[in-house]
Formats: sequence, C-alpha cells, structure tokens
Amino acid sequence: MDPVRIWSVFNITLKGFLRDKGGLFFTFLFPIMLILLFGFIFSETDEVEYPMHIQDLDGTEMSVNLTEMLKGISSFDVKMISTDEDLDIYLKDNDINFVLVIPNGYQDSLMDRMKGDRNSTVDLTVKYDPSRSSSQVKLSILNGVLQEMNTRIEGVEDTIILEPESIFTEDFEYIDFFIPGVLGMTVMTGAVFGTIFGDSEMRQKGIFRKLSTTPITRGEWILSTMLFQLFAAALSAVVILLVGFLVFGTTFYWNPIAILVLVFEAFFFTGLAMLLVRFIKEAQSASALGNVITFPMMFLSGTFFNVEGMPDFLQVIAKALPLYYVNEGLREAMIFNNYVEATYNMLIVAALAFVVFIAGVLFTTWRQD
Amino acid sequence: MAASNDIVIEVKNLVKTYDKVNAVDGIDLKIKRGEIFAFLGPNGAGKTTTVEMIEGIRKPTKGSIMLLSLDVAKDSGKVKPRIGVLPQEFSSFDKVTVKETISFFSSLYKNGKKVDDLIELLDLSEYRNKLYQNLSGGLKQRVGIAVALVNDPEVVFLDEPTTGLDPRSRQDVWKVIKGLKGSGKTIFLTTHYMEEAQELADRVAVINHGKIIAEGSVDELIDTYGTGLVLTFNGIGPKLPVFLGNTGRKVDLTGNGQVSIKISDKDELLGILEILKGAGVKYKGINVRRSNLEEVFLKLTGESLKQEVK
Ligand SMILES: Nc1ncnc2c1ncn2[C@@H]1O[C@H](COP(=O)(O)OP(=O)(O)OP(=O)(O)O)[C@@H](O)[C@H]1O
Ligand SMILES: [Mg+2]
Repeated sequence: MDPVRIWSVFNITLKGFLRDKGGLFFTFLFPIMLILLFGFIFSETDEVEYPMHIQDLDGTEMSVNLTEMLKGISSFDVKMISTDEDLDIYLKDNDINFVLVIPNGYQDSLMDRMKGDRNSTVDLTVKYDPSRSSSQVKLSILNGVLQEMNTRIEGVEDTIILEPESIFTEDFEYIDFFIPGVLGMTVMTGAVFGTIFGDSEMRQKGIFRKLSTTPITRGEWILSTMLFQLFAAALSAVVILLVGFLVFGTTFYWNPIAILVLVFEAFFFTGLAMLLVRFIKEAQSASALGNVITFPMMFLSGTFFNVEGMPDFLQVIAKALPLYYVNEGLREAMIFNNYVEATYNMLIVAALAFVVFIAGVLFTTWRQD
Repeated sequence: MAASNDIVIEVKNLVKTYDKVNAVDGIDLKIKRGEIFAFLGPNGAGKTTTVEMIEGIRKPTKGSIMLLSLDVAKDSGKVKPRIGVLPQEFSSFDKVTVKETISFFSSLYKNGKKVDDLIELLDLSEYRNKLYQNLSGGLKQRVGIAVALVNDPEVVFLDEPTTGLDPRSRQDVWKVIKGLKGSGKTIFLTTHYMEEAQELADRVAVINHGKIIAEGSVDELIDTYGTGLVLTFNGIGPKLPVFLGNTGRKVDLTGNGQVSIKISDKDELLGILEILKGAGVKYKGINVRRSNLEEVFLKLTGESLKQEVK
C-alpha cells in the first residue's frame, strides 16, 4: 500500500466529484430534501404529545413509580386503564393503539433482582398498532426509559452518563428518529451509487485497463475509493445534522460510536458495490444494480419506521440486512447514548466491512478476463 | 551491450483461446530496442489480445513472453514501471484537466516525469487547464500518449492511436510518435491503417485470424508480396472496365470514375495503353505507382483491410 498513490486516487476522485452535479445532488440536496419532506409531513400529522395508556396489574409502590416516571415525560400523555377491563375489547372500543401492561409481580421480581438474583426478570408487555408511526416513537422513548431503569437497578448509573432530562423531558419527535435513518441511508446510497457509477465508468473508459499497466494495485484503488466515500459520507453527515438542528432544533448525543458506525458503513457499502459491479456489463445496468442493493434496505432496515413495528417475518428479513445494524447502532448512540448496544451494532458493521474489503482484494482484479 | 539485450520483446508460440477459438494462434515475435514495430491487421485479428498479453494484463493460454529480459508472467511488478501503455479506445476522467490528468498518472510511479515537460512535448500547453471531456479526439489521444510517457518508459505500446481521428490530428500524432523514436524508445504500435504502418514502422507484422502471415520492413513486404505496379485510370467511361476485364485481369473499381489493375512492369503498361488506343476506349488520365501494403494485404489474405475500418 503506497500512501502517495492512495492519495492521488482520492484527490482525482474528489476533483471529479466536486465538478459533477449529480454527485453533489446525492450527497447534499437529496438528504436535505428528505429531511425537510418527512420532517414536515410527520411533524404535522403526528401529535407532539403521544397518548400513553397503562394498565397496572401490579398495583405496588414500584409500579406506581414507573407510572409516575412516565407521566413525568412530557412526550407522554399518560392515561390509566382500569384493571378490570379486558384489554383487547377495550382497545378496540376506544381505538387505542398503544398500551403498556405492567404485570402482576412486577415489584417482587424487581426486588429479587435488586437483591442480586440475576435470573429474575420483568416482562413488560406493550400492545400496539405497528402501522402507526407514533407507535415507533413511543416504543423508542419507552425503551430509553427502561434502559435507564435497568442501569439504575444494576447500580451502575454513574459509569454511564445518561441524563434523562436532556432527552426525555424534551419532546421526542419523529424527526429525532428519522435523522439517524437519513444519515445511514445517505451514506449507503452515496457509497453504493458513487462506487457503481464510478467503477463502471472507469471500466468503460479503459481507465482500469490503463491502471492495470501501472504500479498501482487493486487494493490501493479499493482503499482509496473507500476513503473517498467516507469523506463524502462525512460531508453528508455534517449537512444533515446541521439542517436537522437549524430547521427542527434536533440535537443528538455526540457519541463517538456513531462516527465509527458511519465509517464502517461507508467502507462496507463501497466494498460491496465493488464486488457486485463486476457482474454488470453495460453502463445502463449500473443504476439498476444500485437500486437493487439500496431499495430493499432503505425500506426494510428501519430508515423511515422502526423495525420493531413491522410484522415478524419482515423483522427477520430486516435483521439480515446490514443497514439494519447501521440504523440500530446510530440510534442507540445518537438518541439514547447507549454505548453497549451501539458498540454491538457497530462491531457487526465493522466485521462486514472487513470481510467485504478482503473479498474485494481477493476477488476483483484489473483484468478483463 | 550484449546481443540479447537488444531484443526488447520476445514472444514464443503465444496462444489465447476464447470459447474454444484461438483469438491469438501461435505467435512469435522479436522486437529490437529503438525500433517502431507495427502490428497490422483488420478488426478482430487479435492485435489487442496480443499486446495486452505482452503488457501483462491478459493471461496467455500458452506461450512465453519476455519483455525487457523479464518474464511477464512472473515479474509483472518489475515490468510495469518500465513500460508505457495507451490502451485501445482509452479515454480519461471527464471532469479533470489535462494537467491534472497527466499529474495523476505520473504520481502512480516512483520515477514520474515532470508534468510540464510532457505537456511541452505533446504540445498541449494551450489546453493544460481544459477539462478532458472538452477536448477534441486528436487532443484526447495526445493526452493519452502523454499519460503513456509519464514514467519515461523504455517500451511504449500504442493500441490504434489514430483510429477515428481526422487526417490532421492523425498527422499530429504521427509526428509525436516519430519524436519518440528519436528519443530512443521502442514502440509497439497496432493499427489497421496501411498508411500508418507505411509512414512510421521500421518493421511490420501482418496479423490475420490470430496468425502472423507476413513480417518484415515495409519495403521487404512490398518487394516480396507486392504486385509490382498499380495502374489507375481516371475519368473513365463504361467501356473501359469491361474491356480490361476481357483481357483476363482482375479489375479494381475504386469509385470516383477510377479503375485500377495490377501490372508487373513498364512493357506491360505500354502494351495495354497501345491496345486501348487501338480499340478507341476513352479515359482522361493515368497514374502508375508502386503497390503498397494495401495490395500486400489483399494478396496475403484475399481480403481488403479498408472495408474493416469502423
Ligand atoms: N474477452 C474476450 N472474450 C471473448 N472473446 C474475445 C475477448 N477479447 C477478444 N476476443 C475475441 O478475440 C478476437 C481478437 O480480438 P482483438 O480485440 O484482439 O482484435 P483486434 O485485432 O485488436 O481488433 P480491433 O481492430 O477491433 O481492435 C476477436 O474475435 C474477439 O471477438
Ligand atoms: Mg484492438
């Protein structure tokens, strides 16, 4: 690996990129349009304060505590459902799409856990309508709260800086959920399309043939392209976060894991595109290939809506898609500042990126035949 | 220098098979240092396949290639810094200027040449800050050649450097190639233009269907395979071709009111003119020239090279 050559390729790609309107559109304008579009659509149709129904079957001090805690969150308008109601009937009759059920024995299990019984767990049930986007938001907030509680119960709240006020007292809106999704999606589409168009153009022009007669190696080319896509990803990210902040006042945690997720995401999708671009012969098939890679992921990996709200079989598919781990990692880091979960997802993306890079070096050549 | 060092490229029994067809079918070549070697053949003859095997970017099915005394199959890493390549139909990054393009390719080598020198050499100063996509075909080819020279290579491969160019641009490129020879480089040129081979080459190999069917200097080829003289009549009427045909000769209708036949010497020429005069067949003028590579090729293959031009 020769740094001079890697820089040269980066530099010339950058020049072409800055002079090309199409590339600039996908890197900057497209994500901004998405944020504005979705941000405004959902900020108008969705209530800012989400009704949150709770049925408390435990009725203990601790369950009331939890209820009170949720009432304290300004995004929630908490309403209690009497314990004598049959939930399924009640939900239908009252057109309710989201209920948290605190089971009988909640306090006991919690106490056992606090006494050190590691096998004791508490199962809270949420009944909700997955087709409503508000459900996803509520789930996300609820997850955040429970995460926080778990931390407290384990008695390690000091080591993880989780400040409930900064996020849970603010209104959690769709846009908070959506912006990390747009980040992940933009980096993916940028890397996939940038690489596919770039590579098929290079091949068609005979530039690869030319390069194969010079000392530059395929590995240097791939690495350089990955670095460039990373750079473009960083530009996109800055623009997206800035627009989110300026237009919607959205802020996130500055969690470094989020950056790592984006880095490995850019590497992964660049490498993947490089592997697949070999199979297309015509320049025209390039955009088709790009769509085949990005479209399913965009809609099934939780870019627009939370995967947990999707039917089971779609969730299984989602979990087989790399972008899912990107989205999860970004949200855990940026929204919930949850290092453990964020790192877990980040490592999956990193492993994928690594595999794809090695495969790229091994299975793609300059050679035509 | 030892004699072996004077042979820059040595190819033995080179074969490349695609889908059971031999695109290159047992080629032997020896190219000396400092010469312009032209590989002449129609479309699909196997020129590009051969050159790219020599450059080390396609794998031969069979055969051995020594380039600069190195085995290309094993020492491709050592060969690359010493050769310069203009691939067929090469075109560079669209939105990058001439200067940036040359500078990019130069940076890929440890011994990259000064960009300004190359711009000077190829007479591109005027266009140095123009985007590649806005250049004419001839200028693009000149940039391509500049890029093939960034590492000051000992051997330069030019795969159809003037295909698709207008006559003036072609002349420009020819001038550059002659200049390269002057600076002592060995040049491997592929072309399907007779004039190009005739104009530039010290030695020509004619390739057809993957086989070399003739090899030598242009003069040697014409002496060996040429048909002597070509007699062309212009400003002819309808009678002349028929009349000539009746004498049992092969008549070449070249259009524009012209017709050509092959003759072996001056006596034959005079004889024909005499007969035509006697028969009262009219024409405006005549032109006699030595046969060229075109006829050599026709004689060798029974095919015309010209019709193959894309
Ligand atoms: N990658 C390939 N796969 C299959 N067949 C090929 C491949 N490359 C070349 N051929 C075939 O090999 C033969 C020789 O092709 P080649 O490109 O070497 O010819 P050429 O003399 O360079 O022609 P041109 O003047 O058109 O450049 C042709 O019949 C071509 O179709
Ligand atoms: Mg060719």
